[in-house]
Order: sequence, then C-alpha cells, then structure tokens
Amino acid sequence: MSYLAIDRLQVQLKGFSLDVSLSLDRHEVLAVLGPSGAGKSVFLEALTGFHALEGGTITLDGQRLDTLAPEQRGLGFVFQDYALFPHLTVRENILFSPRLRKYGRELPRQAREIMALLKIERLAGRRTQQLSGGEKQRVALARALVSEPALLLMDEPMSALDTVIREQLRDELRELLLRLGTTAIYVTHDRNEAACLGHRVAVLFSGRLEQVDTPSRLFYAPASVRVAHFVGMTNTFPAVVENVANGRVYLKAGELRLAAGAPAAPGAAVTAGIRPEEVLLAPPDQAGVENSFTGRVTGVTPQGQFVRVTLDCGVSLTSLLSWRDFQLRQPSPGQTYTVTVEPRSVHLMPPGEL
Amino acid sequence: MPRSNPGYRGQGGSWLLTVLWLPGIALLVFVLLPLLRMTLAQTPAGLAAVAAMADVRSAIGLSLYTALVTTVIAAILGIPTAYLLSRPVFPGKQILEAVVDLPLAVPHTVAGIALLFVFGREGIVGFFAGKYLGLSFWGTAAGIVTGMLFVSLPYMVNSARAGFEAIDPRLAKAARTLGATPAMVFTRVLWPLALRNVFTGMVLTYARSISEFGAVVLLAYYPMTAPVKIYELYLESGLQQASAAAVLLLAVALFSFILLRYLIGKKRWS
Repeated sequence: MSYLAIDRLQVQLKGFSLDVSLSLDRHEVLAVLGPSGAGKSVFLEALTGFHALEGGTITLDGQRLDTLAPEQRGLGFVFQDYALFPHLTVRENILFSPRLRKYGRELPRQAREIMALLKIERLAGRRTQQLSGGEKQRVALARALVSEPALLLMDEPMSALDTVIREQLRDELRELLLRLGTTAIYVTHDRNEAACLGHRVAVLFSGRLEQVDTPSRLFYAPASVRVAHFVGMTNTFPAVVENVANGRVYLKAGELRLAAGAPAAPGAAVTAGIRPEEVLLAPPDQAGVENSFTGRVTGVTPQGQFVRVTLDCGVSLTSLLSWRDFQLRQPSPGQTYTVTVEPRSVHLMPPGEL
Repeated sequence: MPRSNPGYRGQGGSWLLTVLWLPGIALLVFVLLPLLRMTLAQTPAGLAAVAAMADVRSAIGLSLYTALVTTVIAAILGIPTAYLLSRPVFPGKQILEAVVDLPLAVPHTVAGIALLFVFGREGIVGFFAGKYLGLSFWGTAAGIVTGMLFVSLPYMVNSARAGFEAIDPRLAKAARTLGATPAMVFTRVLWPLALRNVFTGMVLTYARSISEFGAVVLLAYYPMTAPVKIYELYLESGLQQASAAAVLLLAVALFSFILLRYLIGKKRWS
C-alpha cells in the first residue's frame, strides 16, 4: 500500500467534474501540471476537505482522510497569494499552528530551525505587509512546514513572483523538500517548474489525469497530442507506418518520409511528435544522411534565449535554435536548408487531434 | 501606463485637485461654521449658568448613559448579524439585508410612532413586559434605548459587516489547514481582523444615539435626553439658553468620542 492513495476522488461543480486516482510514495514530490481551469486547485482543495466529495477515498499513511474535517487532516497548504495573517507578525504567523495545539518547548525550536533553513530569522518581528513577495512565500512555507505535515500541498506558490526570484526560490524549495523528506503535491501551470520539483509529473486536463510520468518521459514521450503540446512538443503531425525494418519504423506524412526509433506496426496510423529543440538545421553536406530533408524557412521569431524558425518540409516543422546556431546558419524566410532529425527523437502517439 | 507620462499626469492632476478642493472647502465651512459660530456666541457666565441647572446636567447624563446601553445592545444584536451577512449567499440573505437598512429610510418620528404600537402600554411587547417584568417603555430610559436602537442598528451592522467582508476567505482556509476549528478561525482570525470595523460601528452607533431626537421624543418625552431638553429650552427660554445647553452637549459628546477613538486606536493592527 502506498503512502498516499487517492482512489477515484470525485468532485462535481457547476459545469466541471473532477475524477482523479493517484498514489504517492513517502518522501515523493508529485507535480500536478495543467492549464488554467483544469481543476488543479479544486483537486488540492478536495484533498484538504474544502469541497464535498461525490465519491472516492483518500488514504494517507493507512488512515482515511476523506472522513475528517480539514483541521484534523494534518496537511500543510501553501497558497498562491500566501494567505498570511495580516494581524500577526512573521513569528506569530509561523507559530499559529503550534500555539493552537499548545505544544511545549519542542516546537519553537523547530520553528527556529525551519526559519533558519528558509533564511527568514531576521524577519521574525516584522508585519507581513512589510515583506516582499518572495519573503512572504518563504514565511508561508515556514508556517506550513513547522508542524511537519504528513503531506504538503502547494497551489501555484510561485506564480505571483517575478522570474528571477521564482527560479531562485524554486531551486531552494527543491533542496528543502529533499532535505526534509517532505511528501508533497505541487500544483503549477509551468512545465519547467513541474519538471524541476516533481519526481513525477501528473498532467491534468479538464478534471482528468492524462499522464503520470517522470519529467523526462513526459517531455520526450507524451501520451497524447494534448500533453505533447502542453509540454512544448510543438511538432505533431499525422503519419502512416509504411514498413518496419532493422528496428526502424518508416513513416510517411504527406510528402515527407522519415524514420522513427519507436516501435509500431506496419500500416498503423499514428501521430508523430518531435520536440523543436531536436529539429536541426544542418550544413549542406549532411544531405542524404538518414532523416535529412529540405525545408524552406517560413518564419523567424526571437524567443529570448532561443530563436524559433518555422520550416516547410512537406509538413510544417518548428525548430528552436540557440543564438549561436542561429548566427552560424543565419536562416531567413524563403531560403531552403537541410533539416535533420535523429530517428530516436521522433516520438509516436496514438492518432488524434487536440 | 499612467507613470510613463508624468508631465500629463502632473498637470492634469493638479488642475483636477484644485477643482476638487473647492467643494471640499465649501463642505468644511458648511459643517464647521455653524458649530463655531454657535460656540463663539456663548459667554462664560451663560455657559456656567446652564451647566449649573440640574435638569440640563441630568439630561446630558441620561443621553450618555442610554447611548452607551444602546451601543452594547446594538453590538450584541448587530455583530452576529453582520457576520451572517458577510457569508456567501444563503436563503433569506437579501431580505435580511433590506430589513437591516430599512431604519435608514424611515423618518424618525415615523419610527417612534411605529415603535409605540409594539412597545407602548397596549403594544405586544410593552403589554407583556409590563405585566411580567414590570418593565415599561413609555416615558422611561428603556423607551429611550428602544428609539435609539431602532435608528442606529444599521450603522452597527453595516460597519461590522464591511469588516468581515474585507477579510480574504483564504485566510480562514489557511487557518483550517493549520489545525484551527471553525470556532478558532473566528476567535483567532476573523474577530481580530474585523475588530476595527466593529469598533467603528460602535462609535457610529453611540454618536447616532446621542443625537437622536425624533424617535426618542415620541417614546419618552420624559425623562428628557439632552436633545429633548435643548428643544424644550428653545421653546420656553429662547435661543440664548438653548444654545448654551447645546454647546455643553457638543463639548461632552466630542469628549466622549475622542475617548472612544483613543481606546479603539490602541487596538489597531495596521
């Protein structure tokens, strides 16, 4: 029996229904990834007990949770906009839970430790209104962690922070959860955050889990076209398996023929997916190598650290180039290039549109 | 992006501010000038003479006392109602909302007459209270409190309600996940956060009660509260004596507001 077992947790709201089954091991961090309105917050609030369940059970460490009131579940919760108590100081916020439970000397020491880990000791006497966003989130984390919750739930805790602080706090949080061995569910719409923090990532669309997998499997082997697009595998197109030979699958997609490293049956209709980082602009002498084809550049868009180049290769492909590669090849619309894709970078999914 | 064009904002802002100041100053003068003019028209001897009158002193004392009692009762009835109204939609909420605001729309003499129908000797409450509790509302301090309460309850409820409504509902959820029962959420989060508005409601209730004339005069001409006494002095002795008593009441009332404000000021959290 796993540490946390969620069995057909069902919530019915106006125009929305949630139905989720999941299990977590002790010390595991699961990221729940999904677009806005997928039901991520509803899922967490259902675990906490803020939504009446239509059905299903939640079992944590052998104990049924779904029959308990929220305050009896022993969960930690970190909110997107922190939800710090404005009438209390930082110290009083962190000690809110220990003081309710009237513990003795034990917990103030724990509070000091957790404040040291989160580097917020010097803020102890401050009013929460005087804190920056990053500091508020540290305090909210300390408040949730101080009672050593059996399960920590985090609802997009970084989304109100600006990029630099967010990435810094994300890395620190990863360290902290690892160090404390906290079992946690982290909800986000940011695939990079999910991949950074989650040992596994669960993709939630419209109240249903579409795929639960390790970050690398999720990014390189998405289960469906919807997931593929959500994790940034933007090149997807329908294809037919022409034949299978020597461990290679040969595909035909419109005028384009290409080889894939994934297993498939001859004659099968599939959807092929290629991550844009894996679509390379090759020097001209690479023509004739396996999976090389000519592509005409149809658009060039700077993307910050990458440049996005769209190409017409019979099917439309998008390539993400590093700035160095971009300056080396200097693609411009109308030019033709040799495009190469490693066969093992071609992923096959069941046929289907978005 | 209003900040990107400080020239426009600065010019437009200062022009607009000047225009807004004009009605602001007019308002200031309109409120302060009559009160100042009345106060400056007094002589120390005249004030001392009125202050020495036993019936004026007892009227002011009665006003302060009944207003305080009204404030306590209004808090007991009003704070739970305010909390209830701050909650999400429940059956009957709109009706309760409308009824809470109703006294604001009822002329105070009308309120007084309506109250007589219930609290007068023949009224349903007045009759039974008199028979079993020996409590009469007609011409008593209880009657004065009844009149004051009717007209001041909306101030208590609406102010406290605004306090409860301003609290982010996530704070209650956060407290629950931290182990607080619903009762603890109220005592440790909602109540301290709404306290300032609750006190403001009590000050408003107290102020409204001291100043009440219409509803009170119909239920209890005697014993006289200060506004009734001032009215009587005006009819019998003219403006000079009435205004001296008025200035006295004004001074006592202002002092008690300042005292209340000071007490509340210490309870503020931000």
